[in-house]
Amino acid sequence: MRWRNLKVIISNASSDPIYIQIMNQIRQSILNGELHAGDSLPSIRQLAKDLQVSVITTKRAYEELEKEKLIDSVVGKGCFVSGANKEFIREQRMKRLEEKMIEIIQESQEIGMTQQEVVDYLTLLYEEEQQS
Amino acid sequence: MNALEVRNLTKAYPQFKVDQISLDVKRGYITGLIGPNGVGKSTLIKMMLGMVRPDSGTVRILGCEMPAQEVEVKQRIGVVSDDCFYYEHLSIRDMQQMIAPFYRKWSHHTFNRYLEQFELSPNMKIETLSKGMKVKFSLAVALSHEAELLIMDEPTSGLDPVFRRELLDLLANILQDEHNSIIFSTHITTDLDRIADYIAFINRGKLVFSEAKDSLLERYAIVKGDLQLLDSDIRKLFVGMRETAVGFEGLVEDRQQAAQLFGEHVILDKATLEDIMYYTAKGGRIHA
Amino acid sequence: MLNLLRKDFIALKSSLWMTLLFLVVFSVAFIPKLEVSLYLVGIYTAFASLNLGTMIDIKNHNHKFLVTLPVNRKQLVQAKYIAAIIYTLFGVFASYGIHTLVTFAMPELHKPEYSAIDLLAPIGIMLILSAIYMPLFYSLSKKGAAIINVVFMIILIGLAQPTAIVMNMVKEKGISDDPMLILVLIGVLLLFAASYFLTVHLFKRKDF
Repeated sequence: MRWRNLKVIISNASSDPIYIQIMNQIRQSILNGELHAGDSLPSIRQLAKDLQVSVITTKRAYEELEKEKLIDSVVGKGCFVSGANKEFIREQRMKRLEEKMIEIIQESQEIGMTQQEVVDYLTLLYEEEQQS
Repeated sequence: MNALEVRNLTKAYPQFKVDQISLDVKRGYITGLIGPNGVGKSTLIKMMLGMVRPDSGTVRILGCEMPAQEVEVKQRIGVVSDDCFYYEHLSIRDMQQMIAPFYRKWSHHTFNRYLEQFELSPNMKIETLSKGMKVKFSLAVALSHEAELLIMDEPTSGLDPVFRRELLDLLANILQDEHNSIIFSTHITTDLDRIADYIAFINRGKLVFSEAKDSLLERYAIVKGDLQLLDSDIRKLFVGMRETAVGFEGLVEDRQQAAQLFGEHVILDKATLEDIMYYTAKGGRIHA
Repeated sequence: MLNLLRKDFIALKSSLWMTLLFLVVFSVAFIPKLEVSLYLVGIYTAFASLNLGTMIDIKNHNHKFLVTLPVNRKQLVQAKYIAAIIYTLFGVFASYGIHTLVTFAMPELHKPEYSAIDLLAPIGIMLILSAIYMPLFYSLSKKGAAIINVVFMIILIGLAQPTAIVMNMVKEKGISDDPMLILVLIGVLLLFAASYFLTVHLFKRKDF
């Protein structure tokens, strides 16, 4: 598939309507950076076919994402991940980062690391990552 | 833009009546026509196609008046039915030679490709085909002349589950072109649970509703609970209900109202099309 | 229109030999015995072929399929009337051909010289028969149509002898004066046309 960065899995057992499930997963992919601004998304009809759901369902999911300014649809060209809403996306990603950092802090406390040790460790990893 | 518009279609028979049905099939979508057997689905479709003369009412297909412009309309539609009456003694190849010249846009290439995909050999005689194979053949015919509207009357009833799934893919393929539309009548609603965009429900010759499937499934709900919760006012909220010694299960039309009313006392489940069809058709109270 | 005739041809492909069989059987049955065998062989062959051509469409309720094709009911009826004319011409000319052969090969049968009127008469009779048969066929159900076919065949066989006598009488009196002949001809054509419009009307009202 051309949209290898897009993963959507529908659960019939979920209490969420299918369009919400699609929305959440595409939003997730954009926010966590799996999809970038300008990446093309499958057409409404292609996605409906791939997921074996109705066209109205995928259409609604895309319309909602468009309202959130996460995607753009260009007539005749299809749908793309929007670059317009960078602020929002950055904000969302910062929030997720914060959650992960809190997790790190909590875990480090559990194994008795001091604040300085955590910062040092982070600095070390950061430098290693930059070199590679 | 509608692919098909039916207005006040009526036909009375001694035993039953198709009564004042008005219905739109939107272009670019799949509309499922559901209802129990023998409630007028087939008669309705036959009236759309001009096979049965309505007592009153009008039909427009792809912007053309029926039956005045039926020749033009039939060039642009495909008909798939579980009782399509071909010449039994002919082979598939003969039938193809017979049918092809009638259509402006017939493609031998497409037809042969579908035969291959459906595992039909051109040498097979029509009389040797199983019901499912006949549906496949009539599907191949319908798909080989660039039909913009596919009218399918109970196409899946003779098909095995494997091909029914394949059919859903085929239909989705046809809908990749947003000018194409499909109307699909069935009493097996699981086919439509997945891919239908709109659902029209016919019961006892009348149209019960015609609306987007998603909003339908969000609106209706199945309520399961203890018999003690029921009194005559509460019963009225239910479209239909099934009561047993250990509890009740019923269909409500307004999920939110039910959620507020019953709160934590009941289980609120998603309704399937089959649930909606079953409880509406049965109505009232069902003792099992 | 051509497509509809082509459709008949394809559907009848495997039973075309039946038409030839009719021709042979009726020839053997009538030529040695009856003087008006030219008429009878032509009419019987033509009518039996028409029977084949109409029954093929209802054998398996095929009208239900035909009405889904991009044609209207008027065209379906039209094609059958044209087919009836073709069967008529085929039957009569084939009969004429056989009689010409017989005159050469078996002069002892004393077949008479045939004139144009001897060809026109069976054509006219066949057109009248078709004009009566077609509205019945198109307005009746499958079972009814099958019964009508049998009834027509019985009538035809039963009437062979009386027809022969009448024809001989008519021939001796001679209707071959021109105004009369033209009048009869116009009458037959009008009847055939009226039958066509009636059939279209009846068939349009039918539900499948």
